Amino acid sequence: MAEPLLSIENLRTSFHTDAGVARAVDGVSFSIGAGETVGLVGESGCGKSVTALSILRLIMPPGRIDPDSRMLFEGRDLMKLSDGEMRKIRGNRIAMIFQEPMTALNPVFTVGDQIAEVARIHEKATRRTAWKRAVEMLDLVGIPAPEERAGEYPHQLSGGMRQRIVIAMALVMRPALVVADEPTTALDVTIQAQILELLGDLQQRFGTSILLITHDMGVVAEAASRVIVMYGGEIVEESPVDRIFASPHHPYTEGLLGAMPRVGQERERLQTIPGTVPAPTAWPSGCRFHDRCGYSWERTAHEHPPLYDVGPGHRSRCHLAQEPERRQHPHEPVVVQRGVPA
Amino acid sequence: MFADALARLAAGYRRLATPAKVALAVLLAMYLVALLAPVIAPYAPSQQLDIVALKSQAPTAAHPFGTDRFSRDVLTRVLYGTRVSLTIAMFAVLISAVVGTLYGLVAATMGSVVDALMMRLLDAVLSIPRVLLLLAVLAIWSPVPVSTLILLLGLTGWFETSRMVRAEALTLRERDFVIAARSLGAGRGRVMARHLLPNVLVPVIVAATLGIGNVIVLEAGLSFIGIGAREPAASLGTMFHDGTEAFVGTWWLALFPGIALVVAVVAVNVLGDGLRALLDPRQLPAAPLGMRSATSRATVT
Repeated sequence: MAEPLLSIENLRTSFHTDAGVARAVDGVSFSIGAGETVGLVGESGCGKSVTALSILRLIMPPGRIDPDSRMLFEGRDLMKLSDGEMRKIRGNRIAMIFQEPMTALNPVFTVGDQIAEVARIHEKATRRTAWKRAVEMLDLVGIPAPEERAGEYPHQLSGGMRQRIVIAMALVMRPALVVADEPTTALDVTIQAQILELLGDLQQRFGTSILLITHDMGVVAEAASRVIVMYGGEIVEESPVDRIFASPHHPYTEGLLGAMPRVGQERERLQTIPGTVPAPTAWPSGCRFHDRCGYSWERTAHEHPPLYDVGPGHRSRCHLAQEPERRQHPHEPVVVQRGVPA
Repeated sequence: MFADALARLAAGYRRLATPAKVALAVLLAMYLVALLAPVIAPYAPSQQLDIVALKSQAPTAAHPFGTDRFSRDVLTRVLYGTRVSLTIAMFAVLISAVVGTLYGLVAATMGSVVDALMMRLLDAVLSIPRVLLLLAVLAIWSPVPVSTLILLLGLTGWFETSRMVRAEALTLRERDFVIAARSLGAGRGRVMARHLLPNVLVPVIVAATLGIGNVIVLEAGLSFIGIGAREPAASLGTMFHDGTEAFVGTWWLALFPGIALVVAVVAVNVLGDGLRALLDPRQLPAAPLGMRSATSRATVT
C-alpha cells in the first residue's frame, strides 16, 4: 500500500480536571489513504470528537495531547510543527466541518465574507479576488444565486444551506484531508442525504480524503469505505465497511448495528446497549466494554485485550478472537450503575 | 457597506421601545445644544453684564434662568455647563470602553498565565474605591484641566467593562464559530479582531451608555465637593454646587443646572435600558422601576 496521507500513532489526549485526569483519547492509531473516506463511529463521549480536534491540534487547556503521540501527515509530524506552521496547515491542507451549522458561522459577518476570509488567510488574496472565490465556492456547493447569497447573513439561511456554507469554507483551499465531525447530525433526513451526496461529489472532483465522524451507522454505510469503531477512548474495531455490516466482530459493534433500524427487517423494537459510556477519568479495568457486554467472562474483567487480527483489514479488540466458542453462550450483561461524572 | 450599516441602524432604531426613543431624542437635543452653545447662547459664559443692575436677578423674560451674583446669564451658563458635562462624560466613557474592551480581550486570548496576571492586577486596582482614588488624585492636583479630568475619569472607569468583556470572550472562545475559524487557520489576532470583538460590542455599548449616566453623576459629585471641572469651564455640577450655597435667596442658580443634570442622566439610563432590552434579551430587567417595566413591556408588544 502506498504511503497513507495521514497516519496517527498512539494518539493520547487527556484533560486535567478537578475530577481527575480524563483520558479522552487513549492510544489511538489509524491511517487514512489519499482519496479515502474513513468512518469514525462511536457513542457520545467515546473520544471521536477529541480525536478530530487533536488532528488539528485545536485542543485547549486543560486538555493536552501527549507529546509522544505521532501524527504523520504528508510526510511531516504534526506534533513537531510550530504554532505558525500548524496554522498554515489548518484550513489549507486539513480542514474541518462542524456538526452544528447554526453555530459554526459567525453571526455578524455575511457568509461570503466568511468564505472569503479563508482565502485571505492562506493566499493573502485581495478583498475582491477573495470575494470572487467565495461566490465560486457557493456555486460549487450547489447554492442557487450565489452572488446574492454571498451577501446574506447566516441567520437568513436554512440549516442545510448553512451546512453547505460550512463545507464551502472547508474546501476553499482544496485541502487534502477534511475532518467532518457529525456533518449531518443536526440536519433532517432528506437534507442529510443531500449533504452526503455533495461531500461525495466534491471528494471525487478534488481527490480529498475524508474522516467522517458520526454515531450513525447508516451514514457510514452510505459514505465510507472503511470503519473505525471507538469505545472508551480507544479503537475497538476496524474493518472495511462491507465486512463490518456482514460480520461484525466486537460485541460493541454488534450492539451499534442492532440499534440501527433497517428496511425489510421486521422487529418489535430496536435493540439497545445496556448501561452508559464509562467516565474517561476512570476507564474500567480489563476490556472497557466488559460490564455492558453479553459475552463477558473473568478474563475480560482483568486482561485488557489488544487489537486482534480477525480477517483481511479487520481488527477487533476482543478476547473472543481467541476464544470464539464463547460467542455461543451469551448472558445478561452485568451493568454497573454509574454515577453521573462531575 | 456603509449604506448597509446605516439601514441596519435605522431598523434597530425602529425596534427601540418608545421611552428609549424619547430618551435618545432628548439626548441628541442636549448634545446638539451643547455643541452649538457658542452660537445659540445669548451671552458669553463669564461675561459680567452689569454688576450693579443685574446682580442675582430672578428669572425674567430677558434672562429666563435669572442671573448670578456676578450678573452672568444663567441660561448661557447652563448651556455651556451642559457642554462641559456631556463632553467629559462622553470622552471619559469612550476611553473606558476602549481600554476595558482591549484589556478584557487580551486577558481572554493570551493564555492562562497572562490571564491570571491581568486579572489579579485588576482585582488589586478594584479594591481601591474609584471615588477615593479620584479624591486622592484631585485633592493634590486641583484644579485640573478638563482634558486631565476626562483622562482620570476614563482611566478609572474601565475595570468592570474589562471583566465583562473577558467573561464574554471566554464563553465565545468555546463557541463553534470561533473553533471553526481556528480550524481554518485564523491566528490569535484575527480571532480577536473578527470573531471576538464584534460579538462583545453589544454588551459594551449597553454598558457604555449606562456608564455615561454614571460619569455625569460622578463628575457632578466631584464638582459638588469642589474638585471637579472649575472655572472657566464650569460643569453643571460646579454650577449646582455654587447655586446651593445661596439656595434660599437665589434658588434659580441651583435649580436649572440641577434640572439639566437630572434630565441628562435619566435620558441616558432610559436609553441604556432600552438598548439592553433590544440587544440583549437575556438580561431583561426585573422591572424594579416603573420606567423599566414600561421599557420592557413596550419591547414585547
